[in-house]
Amino acid sequence: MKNNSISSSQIQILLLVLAGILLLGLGIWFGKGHNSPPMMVADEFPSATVLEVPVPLLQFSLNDHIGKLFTPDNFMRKWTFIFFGYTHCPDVCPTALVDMNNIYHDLAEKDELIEKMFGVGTQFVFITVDPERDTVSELREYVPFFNKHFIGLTGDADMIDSIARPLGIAYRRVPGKDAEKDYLVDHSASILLIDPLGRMRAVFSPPHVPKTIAADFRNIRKKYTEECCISGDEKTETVIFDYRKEKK
Amino acid sequence: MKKSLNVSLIFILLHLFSSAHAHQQVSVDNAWVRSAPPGADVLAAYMIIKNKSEETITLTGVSGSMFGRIEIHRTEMHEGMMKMIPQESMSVPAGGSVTLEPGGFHLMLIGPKTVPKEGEEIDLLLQFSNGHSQRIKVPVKADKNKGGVMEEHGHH
Repeated sequence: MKNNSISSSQIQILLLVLAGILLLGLGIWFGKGHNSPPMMVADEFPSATVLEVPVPLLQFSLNDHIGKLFTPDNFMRKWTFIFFGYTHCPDVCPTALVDMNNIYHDLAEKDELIEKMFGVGTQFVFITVDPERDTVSELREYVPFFNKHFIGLTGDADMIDSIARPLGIAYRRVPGKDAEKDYLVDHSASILLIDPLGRMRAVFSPPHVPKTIAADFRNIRKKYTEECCISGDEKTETVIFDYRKEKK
Repeated sequence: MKKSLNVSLIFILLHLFSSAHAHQQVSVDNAWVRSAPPGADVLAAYMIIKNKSEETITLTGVSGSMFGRIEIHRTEMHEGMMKMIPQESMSVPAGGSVTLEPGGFHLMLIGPKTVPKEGEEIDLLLQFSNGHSQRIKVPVKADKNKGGVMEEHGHH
């Protein structure tokens, strides 16, 4: 009887310990945020969270800042940096666009915008989370101010939503202090990296250090461009592809 | 006559000294406005406000004739999103300083009459809770160059 009672208290302790472990596990699980896609944190990329399994993009069609159609085809055979923001945003968005401009120049200075082995280019895209105010003409004034090669995208609000959410980009309109039109938009401030097959490969969380991001990008590109550009039937076609010869 | 002139001189000197002293209690360094596209509706101003006095001072308002309205904001990460939180005021601790910088505290300049260009200066009036107000000239900077943001603010 005595032995039994000891063992039952031992069982109780064991259960408590197990419950503790389970709670801890749940805490870690929820702490990571259930919205975010599965991620692999690799030490080799200090500024980036690189996805082991890239997140495929949905089909979409948006307009760029000169009114041309932009679809997932525009991601093909290019590495694409994306930032989601809005033009009525004085602090976070200009900071991110200046950072992207610095990444651009870090690469451009060493003539590294085009990856040498496969001729895969690099592009920089700003997608508005405020399509109501950010029309094509607004973006035409705004985006080239930071870099004339950058691309601004706007379009149907539902469409933008359907692109942003699977990429882990959250945003929410909040009222401003005064007028109705003065609303602010809270939004994720990560810079995303899309691979040359149009899939999200990495996330750069703020605060952004352009030099580190550029360095990480070179390594990510080195590691994954081949996988994207030489697979099966595409092999021959991809090797002879040259972004520089692409008709504008 | 001569004596009263002397007395008033002393008063004038005292007055000059005390107002100079009030100015020295608050100093504003490294102020800049980030240049924005010609159609911009909002701009941001950054600076370091130092309080050399022995009491906390509070920035209660900012005005500038070039803008419809100026608010003190703070950017904060909240639920994974960057959120701009309007501040009623901003305290600068005694003997300390507050840095307004990208991604943190900033002045949000709303509704510019014309968007100032790089190289121009704008006038702002900072108002503090102790009745002190300070006029500052803030240069507009492009902040486009490589490492601009990081290098300019990383070392302060």
